[in-house]
Amino acid sequence: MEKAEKIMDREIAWRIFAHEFNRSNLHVSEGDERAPNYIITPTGVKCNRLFIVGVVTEVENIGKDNNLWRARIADPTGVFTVYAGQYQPEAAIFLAELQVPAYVAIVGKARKYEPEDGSVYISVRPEEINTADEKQRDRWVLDTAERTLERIKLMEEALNSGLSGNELREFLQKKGENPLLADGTVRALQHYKELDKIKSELKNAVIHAVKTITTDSSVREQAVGKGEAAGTQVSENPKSSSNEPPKQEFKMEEIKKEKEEARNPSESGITETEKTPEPKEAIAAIIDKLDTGKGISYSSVVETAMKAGINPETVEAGIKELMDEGRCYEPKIGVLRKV
Amino acid sequence: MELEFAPHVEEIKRALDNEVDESNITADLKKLLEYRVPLSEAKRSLIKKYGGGEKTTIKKLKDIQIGDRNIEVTGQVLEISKKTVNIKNIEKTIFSGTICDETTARSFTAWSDFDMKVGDVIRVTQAYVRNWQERPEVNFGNKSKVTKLTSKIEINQESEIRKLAELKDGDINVHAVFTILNMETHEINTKDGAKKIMGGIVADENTKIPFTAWVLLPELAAGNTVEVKNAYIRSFRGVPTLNINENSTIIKLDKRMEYKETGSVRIGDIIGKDGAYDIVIEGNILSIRPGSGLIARCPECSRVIQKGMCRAHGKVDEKMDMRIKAIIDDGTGALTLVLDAGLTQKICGYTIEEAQKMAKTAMSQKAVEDEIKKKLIGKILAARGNMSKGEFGITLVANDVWEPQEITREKANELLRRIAG
Repeated sequence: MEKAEKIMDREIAWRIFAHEFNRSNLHVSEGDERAPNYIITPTGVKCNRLFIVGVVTEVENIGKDNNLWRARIADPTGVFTVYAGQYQPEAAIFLAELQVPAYVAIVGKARKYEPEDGSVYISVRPEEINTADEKQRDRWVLDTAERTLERIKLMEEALNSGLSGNELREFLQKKGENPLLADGTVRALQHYKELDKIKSELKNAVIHAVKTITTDSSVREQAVGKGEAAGTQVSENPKSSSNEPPKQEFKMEEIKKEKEEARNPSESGITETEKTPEPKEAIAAIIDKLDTGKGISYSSVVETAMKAGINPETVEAGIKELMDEGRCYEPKIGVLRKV
Repeated sequence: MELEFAPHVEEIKRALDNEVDESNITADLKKLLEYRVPLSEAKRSLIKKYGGGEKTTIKKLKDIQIGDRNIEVTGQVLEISKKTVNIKNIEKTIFSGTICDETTARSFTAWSDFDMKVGDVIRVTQAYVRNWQERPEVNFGNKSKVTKLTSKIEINQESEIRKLAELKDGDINVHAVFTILNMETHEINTKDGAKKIMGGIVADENTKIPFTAWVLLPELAAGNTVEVKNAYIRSFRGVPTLNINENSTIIKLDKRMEYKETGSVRIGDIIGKDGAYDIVIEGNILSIRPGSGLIARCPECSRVIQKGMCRAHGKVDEKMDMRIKAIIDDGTGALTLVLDAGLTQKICGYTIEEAQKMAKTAMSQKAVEDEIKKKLIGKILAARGNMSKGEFGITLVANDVWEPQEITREKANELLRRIAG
């Protein structure tokens, strides 16, 4: 009976914000090559399948034979990278025909790519993809926030228990936690350094995300209209200005938040980590200088930055951040290009 | 040489209840050993040859597992009914029911008439266990021997009151307090002819479950709040069902227990259970499974058929039907949601006839499935129905489905207050 259950039970589609997903750099695969691969996120999700509702901000054909498509899908905390190739024909066709920006719902599997330089790239391979609307996106943000906060709480309980390894796994399973989450939590605790920092950053990202859906969409529309020339839209749909990439919203929110913090110093500690752009800007300048329009290799950016005294981990994080913000991208794996 | 054989022959004889002549066994064993057959294999094959089984294992009912062979169980017959089945065009009468010992209750099937009655305490040897609706079921076959005992099954009468939500298939000596929401009498066929039983729905503060009463009792009336002792739980169509029989005691209470509907439940909270009755779930539709959309059924047996050919009834006039089998997932768990033609129409907006037109225009039955995918993938739906586990995984067969009310912003504000507070 147990065997039957293993075959039939459908694996859960986790709700994870891009912020957390992109910070995952632990990967496990169990058993033979047909066994599922998992990434372990900082809050301990042992993730194979996930569900996202977000805004597609960019679709690019990056394959040699027109058959590999890469899309950037933004949520209020960051950007998911989605690859659809010849084995996902329906998703590839869907993306190829899509007018950006657009709300989409995606069911997909977490994939990782590890080029030789030691960095890890996490992306999503779609199983199902469909158009969505703002309501669905808002609901996804709410659900994802709730699930993420639950996991942060579980993480804290796990830390407070003082247990680790199999003892912790048993403790969590006895509490009735999902076995994948119990196992993931144990592994995340072993792997991720600076969990406190990761947790508080993530918590801030979650709060920020929830705030974006409490404001009326018409207000948001106006704000976006003011912040950016609304005329850049190439669409016949008069309502589509509400479909602006949330990149702008994020900045608007950021400004608002900073103003609020200025008035309320007791809260200012929360977002401190978001305001350390120095190495990132230096990296941006390096890419800007080196890229003559054809892109430059990832390794030469790292090399130059290291010569400038930035440590490799910071370089990597900085490049990731720049990509998340849409200031540079990777036309090919291992090659960077400024926007 | 003879001496060497003696202990092994003795062992074989014992396994065969001393019913076989010793010299035959000795001759056979010698022959096998001359062929250089290993001693253990020689003994095993001889026991089998003379109709003996391998060693019988005595098991408690809670320990039985699908695939167990040659086991001995002792228990009391709680229910028994007579059925006629058709095996390879030969009609055969079998008896099925429920048996319990002090550990649990399990269903059984007896493939011949062992003259068992409700209340009998029996010892069954050479029984085996098969898979019946993903649960172990004890089978009494040709080799089985049923002995009636005069002893009783000792069940500790004092047990704590349990919540209906905790009850699982096989639970015995169940003590619970609940209100009878509705009930009616049915007539069923038992071994001794027709018998009246009662069935309906009972509920405590937050859980509804179906019940069956094998005895007609005045305390069992709609609206009554009662305390029941020594009832047991059997799964019926995948849903845990409370059973009340002659051994159960029922007291009508003066207070009244009110059932309160709790709204939707988290999928992750219910998939660990065997089944759940009349629950509401809410989640995203993440996949439309094959076999959704327009389907053809056999008019005789309602099986889904291809090209007008039924597995049991051959060429038939197919009857068109429509359904959706979808994966619904709320981020805490996932299960298969099944919607019939009426609910498919409610959520997608077209009738079977309109779906047929759609398929005709596209010249493909799959066109309807594709339409459903476009309409539903990613969408949030709420559904009410019974959850069960079976060979097709965890399933909720809906009796209603709807798009939930839009309260995201209120909930978001509430969440922010919760974080701040």
